[in-house]
Amino acid sequence: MKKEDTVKLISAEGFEFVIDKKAAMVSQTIRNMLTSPGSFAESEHGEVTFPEISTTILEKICQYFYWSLQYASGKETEFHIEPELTLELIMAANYLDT
Amino acid sequence: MKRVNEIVDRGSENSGLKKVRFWDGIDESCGALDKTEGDDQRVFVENEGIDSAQVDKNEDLFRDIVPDYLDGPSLGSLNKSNNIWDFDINFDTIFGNEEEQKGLVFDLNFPAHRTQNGGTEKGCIVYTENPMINENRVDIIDIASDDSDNEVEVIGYTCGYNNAKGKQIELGMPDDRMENLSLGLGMIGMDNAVGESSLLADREKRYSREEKGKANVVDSWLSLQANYSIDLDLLTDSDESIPREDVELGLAVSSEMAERALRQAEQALRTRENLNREAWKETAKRFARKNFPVQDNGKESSSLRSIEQLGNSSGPFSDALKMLRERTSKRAAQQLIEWKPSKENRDRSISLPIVPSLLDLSLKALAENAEGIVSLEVVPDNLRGRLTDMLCDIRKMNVHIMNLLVEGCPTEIRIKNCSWLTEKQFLQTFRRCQTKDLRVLQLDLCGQCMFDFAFRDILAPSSNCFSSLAIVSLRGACRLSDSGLKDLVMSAPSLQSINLGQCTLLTCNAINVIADSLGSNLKELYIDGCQKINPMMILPAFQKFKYLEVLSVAGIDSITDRFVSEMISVCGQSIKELDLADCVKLTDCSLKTIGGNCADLCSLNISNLNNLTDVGMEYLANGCRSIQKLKLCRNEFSDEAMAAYIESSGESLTELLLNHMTKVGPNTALSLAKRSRKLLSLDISWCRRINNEALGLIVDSCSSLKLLKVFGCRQITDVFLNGHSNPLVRIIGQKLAPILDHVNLLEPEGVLLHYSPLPISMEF
Repeated sequence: MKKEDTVKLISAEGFEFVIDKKAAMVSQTIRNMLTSPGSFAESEHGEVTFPEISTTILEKICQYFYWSLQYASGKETEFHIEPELTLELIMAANYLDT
Repeated sequence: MKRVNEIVDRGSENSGLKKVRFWDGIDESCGALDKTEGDDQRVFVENEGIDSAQVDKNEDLFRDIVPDYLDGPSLGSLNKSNNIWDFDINFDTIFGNEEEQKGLVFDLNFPAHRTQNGGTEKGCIVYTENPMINENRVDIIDIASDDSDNEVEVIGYTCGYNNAKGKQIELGMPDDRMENLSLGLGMIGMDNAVGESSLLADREKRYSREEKGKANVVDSWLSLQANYSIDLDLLTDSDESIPREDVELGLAVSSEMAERALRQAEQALRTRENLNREAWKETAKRFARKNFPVQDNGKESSSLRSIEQLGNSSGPFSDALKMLRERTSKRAAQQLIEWKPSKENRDRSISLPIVPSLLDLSLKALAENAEGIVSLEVVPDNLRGRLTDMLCDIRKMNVHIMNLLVEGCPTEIRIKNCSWLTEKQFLQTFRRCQTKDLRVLQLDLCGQCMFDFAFRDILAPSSNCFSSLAIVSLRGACRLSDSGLKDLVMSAPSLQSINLGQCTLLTCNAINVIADSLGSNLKELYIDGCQKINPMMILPAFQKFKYLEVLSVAGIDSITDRFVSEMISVCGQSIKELDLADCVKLTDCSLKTIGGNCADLCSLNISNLNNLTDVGMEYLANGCRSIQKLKLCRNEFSDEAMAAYIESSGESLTELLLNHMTKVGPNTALSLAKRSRKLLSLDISWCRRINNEALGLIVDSCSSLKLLKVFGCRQITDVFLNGHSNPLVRIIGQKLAPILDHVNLLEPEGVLLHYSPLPISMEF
């Protein structure tokens, strides 16, 4: 993957997730951060930090991004969510507008 | 032994007929009693000539023929005459022929029947035909009466059976068949003393569930174990001393006696009915709806323009109408619509699936595992609201979640379906709730739990009060009366929005209370469906609602033009949303008032008002230029008037309902396409005159359109469905597409007041 096509999402614990820009754009919040005019630090370095989102949740979110792309292209599968993640996932999804 | 109550609908007058079916639980082969099975040995009760009112009442009369409290077979109130009414109610073991046995069916509502003379008489069904009598020995039940007060009143219920389809059976065997009847004919127990005294004495009692016959009959005297003996005795006159014996046969009755018994039973029934009727009249008053006198609108209607003058006056509506007429004079409107389906004729049903959002998915996952939620502390209010909505939808909302919602100092509690909540649970939960920060309380469909002293009970113990409560919704609180509402309103001084839809016990006193304590603070009032409210009596209260923004009086059919005009004169400046659906007495005068005074009106619902005509539409168009949500249904506006409205004042429309507007057609379509760029939701269900081309034009021109409802529009075909070029629009109502996903598409989330912010002091 070329660097220009990727973004780095950093969790609260410092884990870095490098994913496609296209995947990250599924989240409206990230999309706005990366594409809005004006110089967000995020758009310049291609890195977004989420101090309130834990690693497991961020990982699940990235999985959701890819699943979403897959779904939109026609391959409709089920996205399973472990019950213990649901509450935090809801809050994170609400924040990320995804 | 199981007992099943069935309600058999036998035409309109028999709507309350209940059939009771007994069968031995052991004997599974006793199938359900079907009306269609014309088998023999079926007890069949016909109920003719009883009106449903009586039938319903009669349910209590008989309480139950199988009360659980009867140990040992006994039959109530018969001891007075020292008679035994012994009878067998279940034929199963009687006849021993298990395949043919059906349950006993008899009518607790003392049915009418045809006598042998062919007349209709309330009484028991008498046995006529020769029953298919089993030669086997019968087990008979010994039923002795006892002295208890809780005796069942068995008046004239009859058992018998017929061996032909649906035939009446008469009880009255010729003597030569007596022996055969030992196999357990049900008897009509009749006694002239049975009727009056015991019935009267027991009338006032509140019948327990068992008494009403709704409990399971497990071990009552009806259960036919072996070795019961049947005494069949039919007495009609007390002075006739038929000796009490345990006879196997017991049916020493001639048809004459039976008739006499019938008549007496009938008498008894009538007396009892009369007494009961008095009691029921009293109860009914509480629930009755007054028929308010019609106000005379005569003098007002003369000031309206007539329909011929439409378009001759000045004003935007008339201009538009003139232009329309000019246009259609040259070419018919339908020909003006030039829309071709786009070339890429793709099948929409397989294109572009809509990806569910992570929020939705995780909410769903959370809702399904709701039992495991330990705390909702960190969840913000809007998500709590969505979670509870989802839980209510999948019917998993319960006390556990409710306890989580009331923990801490909640600011919002929104439960859109409280039908599962019992009184006890409600009190227990809410007593623990710290309500001082509560801003929004939504307990819709709370009929079961919201009783009159509910709020008093909650607020009394601690120093709890609803000091911040701004928005309350108690839709469907059908047990809440004026005093209960008063408790709530008195303890919530900052209320700005009250939703009391379908709270049917409320009267004008409730509105007066609200007006007195809240007055000009109140911004939203929903009293749709509250039929006991007399509109004229609440007019004085409305003088105090100066800043009312939302008013819903839908469904109160006694609303008149006069009410509307008086109400608008007070709050016409501030009113932004009016719901007048189903207020069928309204005429164009109301539209004139509204148009004349409500310039800021944003949302109007005039569904099902068929007295409105194009004249009214003109007033509306000229006066209310900024309506965003317009809901019309089954109105009589013509195509031209509708089109002229949209041309002149339809720019701000975001939501337009044209449900069942049969006259709407190509003119309207043209106007919509031309003017309504902001339209988000359009409902043209059942508008048959809008064809594919017209709809295609609308959809392609209204680029913001997200939701299109086309229920009942069979004229819309794939030509449109696959040919339109609007990528966003979701079309509901065709081809068995899922509906409920899109129902709340345009509902805003976490709405507080609809048209103004909450005062600063309450904002956090």
